Amino acid sequence: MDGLYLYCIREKTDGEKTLAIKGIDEENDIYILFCRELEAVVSKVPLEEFASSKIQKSAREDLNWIKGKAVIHGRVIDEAMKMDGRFLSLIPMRFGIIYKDETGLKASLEKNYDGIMGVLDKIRGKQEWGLKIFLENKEIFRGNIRRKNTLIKIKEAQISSLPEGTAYFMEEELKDIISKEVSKELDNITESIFEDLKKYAVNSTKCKILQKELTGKSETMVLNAAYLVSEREIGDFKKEVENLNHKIQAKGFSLRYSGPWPAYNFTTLEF
Amino acid sequence: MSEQKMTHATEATNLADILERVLDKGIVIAGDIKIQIADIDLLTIRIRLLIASVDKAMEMGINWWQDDGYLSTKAKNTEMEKENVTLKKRVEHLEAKINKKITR
Repeated sequence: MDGLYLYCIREKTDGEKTLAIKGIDEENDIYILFCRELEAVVSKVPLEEFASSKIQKSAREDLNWIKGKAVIHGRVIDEAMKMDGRFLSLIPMRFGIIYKDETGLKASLEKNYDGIMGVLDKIRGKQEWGLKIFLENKEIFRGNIRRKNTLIKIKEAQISSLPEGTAYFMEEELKDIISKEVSKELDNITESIFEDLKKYAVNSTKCKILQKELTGKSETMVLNAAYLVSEREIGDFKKEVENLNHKIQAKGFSLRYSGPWPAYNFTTLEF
Repeated sequence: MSEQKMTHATEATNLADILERVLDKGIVIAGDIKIQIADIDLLTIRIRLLIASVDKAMEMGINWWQDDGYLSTKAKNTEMEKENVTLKKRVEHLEAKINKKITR
């Protein structure tokens, strides 16, 4: 028996009833289920596999399985968001929502109809853009802190005039001062950029800092943010990111944006 | 327009971005079945453990490689054996000399 895997819900279009991309099981096609002014993007999945405890185990333990399936889920939503060179108002679902049949899904859409329409209205004509700040060069950053901070300068001068044994405790104290200054300066830098870019957005949020293990990058992520930007502001938003990136490079940081994303970060209301 | 995604040259579509959004964000609507995935923090920990175990394996690999200095150890042994033989000979020679003196 087949169930239905739900990827996203989008505003009504006059487009095709299918998408030219395979579903989460890599076999069945993606199709559209209509419900008044809504479209649910779904594909069939064999329930003997997708309702099994084996799949729950994979989802918790098998990293490769998770990666593969998450990428398919994301790709389907990316496809569903685009139509004739524009981006549709769309609510992405979190991974792993399955209905036993169309009746169940339609009932759920009807039940939540007003809420869903409300979210779609709120994000219409807007795009989610990601913004990350990376600390690229720790030496430049630390060097700047040392030069600017008089307390650190004084301590360093004192230490250099002391015999080695006595200097030890002061060195520890200095390390403490530096690490406090580092986190203060990191906060200042990331906060001012995060705030500055809010000018171009209707909504913004800070996301989890992703660890190096996940990003596969050697630089440290110091800010991970998302902005909901009106279509007409996107050009200015990007220009400002470039501009800020240019300025911040001298301090040892880099700024990167990505998008447009489906509004994952601005459609988080739960039913 | 489709190329507009990830327009910034330095930003490739990062797997971490996709995982973070797909597994952690988006609307949760009550379906009949929910595939429950480990959240992003747990994933990071799992990956970290994975990397750690790879490190351990490499460490063991290196040890194994160092142990495989078996050949060089063997070479060292034969050298010692040779030295042993010559020393024994010298000792025997000296002992013989002493014995001769005593018997005289």
